[in-house]
Amino acid sequence: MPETSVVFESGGRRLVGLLQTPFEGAVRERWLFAYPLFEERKSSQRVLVTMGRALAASGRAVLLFDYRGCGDSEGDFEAFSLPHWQADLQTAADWLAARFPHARPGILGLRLGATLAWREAARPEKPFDRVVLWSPVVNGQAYLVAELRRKVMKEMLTFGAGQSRRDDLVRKLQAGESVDFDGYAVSSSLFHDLAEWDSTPPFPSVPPEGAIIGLTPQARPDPALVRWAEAWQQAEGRCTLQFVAEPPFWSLIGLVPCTALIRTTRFWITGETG
Amino acid sequence: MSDETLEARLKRLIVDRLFLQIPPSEIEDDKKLVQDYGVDSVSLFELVVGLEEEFGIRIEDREFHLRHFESVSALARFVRAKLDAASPAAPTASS
Repeated sequence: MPETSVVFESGGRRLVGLLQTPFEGAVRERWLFAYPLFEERKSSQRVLVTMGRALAASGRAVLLFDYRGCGDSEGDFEAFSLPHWQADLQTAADWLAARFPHARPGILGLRLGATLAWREAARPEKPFDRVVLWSPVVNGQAYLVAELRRKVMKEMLTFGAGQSRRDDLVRKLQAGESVDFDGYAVSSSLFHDLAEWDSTPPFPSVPPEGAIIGLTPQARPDPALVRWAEAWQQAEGRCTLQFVAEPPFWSLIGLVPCTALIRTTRFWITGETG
Repeated sequence: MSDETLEARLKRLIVDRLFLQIPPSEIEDDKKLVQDYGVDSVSLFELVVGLEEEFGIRIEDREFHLRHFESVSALARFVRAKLDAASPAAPTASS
């Protein structure tokens, strides 16, 4: 599959991406992929690239890129927050549309990337015909608490006991200080944006069509995602909800093929099996 | 309450949450979760969330000490103490 490194500008920063296209034939759909944040971005790269290859093999173009301040793109992570990264998604969508103007637009996101993708796709302009959300983050506050907790657990494995307390970390962030998350300086501004970020229904506006695919032990339904899907349907959107029994690959360092996730997603997007 | 022992429930939870490819009964009570079963900070997080959901307990930051999480036996002691503290009059999970 042709894979080309691309560079485009957003908010005065050079963003680096990977464009995957079919070997031949017209591009039927153009898909924008939205990375998660922090260490989850690194751990998810392989699965997202593999997903992109599967779609490119079925006549789709896929753009995967790093937001400003993340990965290979320009800027300091600490200087940016959710509105900047959502603006980057808009710029990337325009960039992709300029190259494949006749292709149907779609967006796929993972974790916080899925939540950003949802926000972007749910805008009244409805910039994407179809949306795929992989284990989206439902509530920014809960996500933050979980991340802070993970930090304390890492300390436990390193030092035998947690060195930090979530309350202290939150106090620092509230006081305008930055806190280190696995080498990423989380600014007070990002903290506040995340804390206010709640994707629980009802939704004022929803994308026209989409799929929520949750990764859970034994493919057990996640009640928060069930509520999300129901609210999407009630708001006149067409939504498919599926659960896949695969580990949270975005948190793991080793190779996790995620065959079932990729097969399920590919089938939903293309109707093709295999 | 099922007849399953607390240790057996914990082993099932560990296999389930950590996607281990072994039967729960193969996990030995006193083997180290980190060294012998590859538990790391990520899987530990999944395990803690699983413990809270399965047993209805809340694990505080100050309780994140390796001695509570080093083996199934240690986890069982920890969970049993949490359950006892939550309802002193109630029978323990293993009874």
